[in-house]
Amino acid sequence: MKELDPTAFTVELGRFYEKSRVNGTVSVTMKRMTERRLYKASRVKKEIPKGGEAILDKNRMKDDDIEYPCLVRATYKDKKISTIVAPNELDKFQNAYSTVIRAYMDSLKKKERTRKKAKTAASQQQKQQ
Amino acid sequence: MYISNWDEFQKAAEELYTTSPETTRYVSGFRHVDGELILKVTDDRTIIKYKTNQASDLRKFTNLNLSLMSKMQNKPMEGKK
Repeated sequence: MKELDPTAFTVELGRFYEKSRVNGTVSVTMKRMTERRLYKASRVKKEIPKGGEAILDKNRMKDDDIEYPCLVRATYKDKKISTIVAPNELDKFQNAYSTVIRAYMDSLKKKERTRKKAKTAASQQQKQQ
Repeated sequence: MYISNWDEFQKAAEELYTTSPETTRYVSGFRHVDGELILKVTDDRTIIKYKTNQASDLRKFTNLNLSLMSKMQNKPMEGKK
C-alpha cells in the first residue's frame, strides 16, 4: 500500500483510470479517521498524520465541532494507493478529485432523450397531416 | 440492496452516515470497459448500493462525494451550487 500526499494521490488515481480503459475496475474508498485509527496509524508510521493532532489530544473536550481527517484509498488490479486528507486540505482535494472524475469517466452513456423527442414530434406532425 | 433512484440513494447514504459516522465507509468503483459506475455505502450492518451507466449521474456523484467527505470531516458545508 503506497501512502501519498493528496495531490500525488489524485495524479496517481488519474493514471489508474487511464490504465483501466482496456480492462479492470478502479475502486475508491473513503472513511473517517477516528481516534482509534489515528492512534494505530501513528504507531505504525511513528508520527501523527496531518490533522490528527487535534483529535488525539487527550485534553480536548468532547464537543461536536472537532474536524477529522479523511482516509481515501484507491485500487486498480494489484496496485494500491492511499492518502489522508486533513480538514484544511478538503477543498483542494475535492477540486483535484472532481477534475479527474470528469476527465476520465467518459464512457458513461449520454442522454438520448432529444433524439426520441425529435422522432415523436416528427411522427406526430405526420399523423396530423 | 440496490436502490434505483438517485435521490433516494443520496438520502439513505446521508442518513446512514449520520447514524454511524465512525464505522460508515463509502466505496465507489468504475469500469471503463462497461461504462458503469457502482456506489456502495455501508456501516458493516446495512448496505446500500447504486449502479449507473448514465453520464448525467456524474455531476450528482461529485456532489455526493463533496457532501459525504464534508460529513466525514465533520466540516460545515458551504452552499455551493
